[in-house]
Amino acid sequence: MKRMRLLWAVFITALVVTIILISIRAYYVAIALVVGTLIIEHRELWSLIRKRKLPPIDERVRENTSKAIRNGFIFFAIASAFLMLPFSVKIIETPDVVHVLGGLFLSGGTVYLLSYLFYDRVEPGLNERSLRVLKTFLLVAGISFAAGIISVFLHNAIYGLFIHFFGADFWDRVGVADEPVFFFIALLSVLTFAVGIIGILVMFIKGLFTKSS
Amino acid sequence: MKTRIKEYRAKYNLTQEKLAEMVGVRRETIVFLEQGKYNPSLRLAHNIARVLKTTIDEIFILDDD
Repeated sequence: MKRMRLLWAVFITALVVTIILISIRAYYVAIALVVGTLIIEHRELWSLIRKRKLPPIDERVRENTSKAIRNGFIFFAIASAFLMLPFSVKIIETPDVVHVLGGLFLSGGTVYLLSYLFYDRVEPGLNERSLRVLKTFLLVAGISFAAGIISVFLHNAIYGLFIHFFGADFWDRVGVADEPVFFFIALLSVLTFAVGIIGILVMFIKGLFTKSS
Repeated sequence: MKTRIKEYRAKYNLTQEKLAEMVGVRRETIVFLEQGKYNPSLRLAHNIARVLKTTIDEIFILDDD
């Protein structure tokens, strides 16, 4: 009975938030919220339709849920801290707060959802070798993403620092800028990131649809 | 970790779903336990052993490594 009330609470909250999101015209967040809620609760809904009762929340489900919440929260905290940077130094003068917050919540929710699916379905569905491959692709995607971000800062820092120390016409005098190096890094980052993401998707889908019996 | 849940289930003619219901977990949890892909808590291990009328170390066999 308590679990049924909890399920109702989740659906009513989702409904209220969806109505608010539609009223502020954040349609894409509203759709994502509805789809996400349905995906997260699909087992409960399926069990209710088939057996007219809820499946138990056992220790494995509780464990997976808490790990997924932790991942979503860490992502949310890091993304919020990262977003504060362009706003605090006014790189973005008039941010669209609704869309920025919507995107932030959407990404946090997606991280939660993917983490839950990973712990609940993908990890048990893959053998050790496949898990190692997935970890390698995760590392490739993560490192290339970080390399891309760092090289943007580094590019601007080097450009600015050389002007600061050697004068405004430094790059004109030298003739060649640092552009080719950073262009190469950017290209390499994008390519390796794409390879990493494709690999992750393939392994994730493979684990997700491996039949357990 | 290896388990003998499947063997004991067959002995008592229990389906995964029935055993899951008896110990208060989801069927998937029993599936992953049988495949050795999930380490249960002491409480769950105890409940499974009780339902299958045996001891924990008879059902769950730890690998040396």
